[in-house]
Amino acid sequence: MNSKYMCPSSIEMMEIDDEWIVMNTEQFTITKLNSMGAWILKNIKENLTIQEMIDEISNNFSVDKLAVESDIQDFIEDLEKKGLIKNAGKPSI
Amino acid sequence: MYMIMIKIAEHMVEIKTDSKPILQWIQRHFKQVNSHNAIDLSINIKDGFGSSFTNYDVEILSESEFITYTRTDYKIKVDKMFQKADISVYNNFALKHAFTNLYSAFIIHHGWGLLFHSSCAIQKHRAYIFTGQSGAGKSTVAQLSTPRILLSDEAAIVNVSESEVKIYDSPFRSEILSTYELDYCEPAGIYVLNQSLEVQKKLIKKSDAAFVIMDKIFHWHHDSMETNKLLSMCKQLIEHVPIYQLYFQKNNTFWELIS
Repeated sequence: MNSKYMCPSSIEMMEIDDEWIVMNTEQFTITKLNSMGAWILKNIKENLTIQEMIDEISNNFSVDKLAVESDIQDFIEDLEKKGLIKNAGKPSI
Repeated sequence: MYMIMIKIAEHMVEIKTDSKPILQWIQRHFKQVNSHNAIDLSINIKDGFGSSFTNYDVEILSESEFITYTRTDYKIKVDKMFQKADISVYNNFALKHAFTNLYSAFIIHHGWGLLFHSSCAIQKHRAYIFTGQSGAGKSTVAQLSTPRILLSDEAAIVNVSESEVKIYDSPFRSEILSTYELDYCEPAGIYVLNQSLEVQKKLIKKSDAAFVIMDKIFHWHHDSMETNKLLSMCKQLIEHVPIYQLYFQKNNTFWELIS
């Protein structure tokens, strides 16, 4: 869970009516995310690790960490399949 | 060498060609003006290029100073500031498509607007834009809208800014040529066409509208920065103009519903 992902510079996000449209300007594809999905993608852009995001969500919303971990992991895999993020490898100590 | 000035929306375009048939085609399809205003785009057009149309695939090559768009029946070479372009074409069909390609890229580059695959008719000084997949009825709706003024029957020129959206009279026509009665109009709405037994309209949520709009824009993707401009203008368009699903019969009763 200390994996880091990166968001290519070709990924642009725009907010419309509390939902987020994410565009891959290289592939000319668009995806819609809700506010939580957009929050995760924005934090990936800001170089947070998955664990850091899990910690923040479970602390702020008093939610079980294991449940958060599972949900985030599924979502990350989906983002990766859609080409919106890439695995940047584990951070060096 | 023939040289004329034409006006497309707000833009002054200088045309140069050695071909009389090309000159005549331009004069038939575009608004010729006598003007000493600054030229926005200068185009040199030649015939005798390539071979007849095979498919819509356009190869795009972006170099340091030029962008080249190549299809079997046309080639466009334009400088990266979109000030001067050379178009070489096989025939009038190719010329029409090359012009659409170039003008679309020009207005996106300048962040001025979009070419939107749609027909557009005026009712009570407002522009009603009809779009949809191929065969949905854009041309049919244009014909059913007689005697209303049409601003487009194939590709609408949409000027987008932070404060407003304007729909300009488009020379990029399929069947019904413009009579240039009206320069531009503000939009009342965008209607995504669905042929149906019943006539009704449903407002599309703005966040879903992006999916409906994006594939209706004439755009040849070659550069993330340009695509970014397009995305930004799409957002402004969605924010300013309501977008509906329109279910209509093949008659003009939909006008009672939408206007």
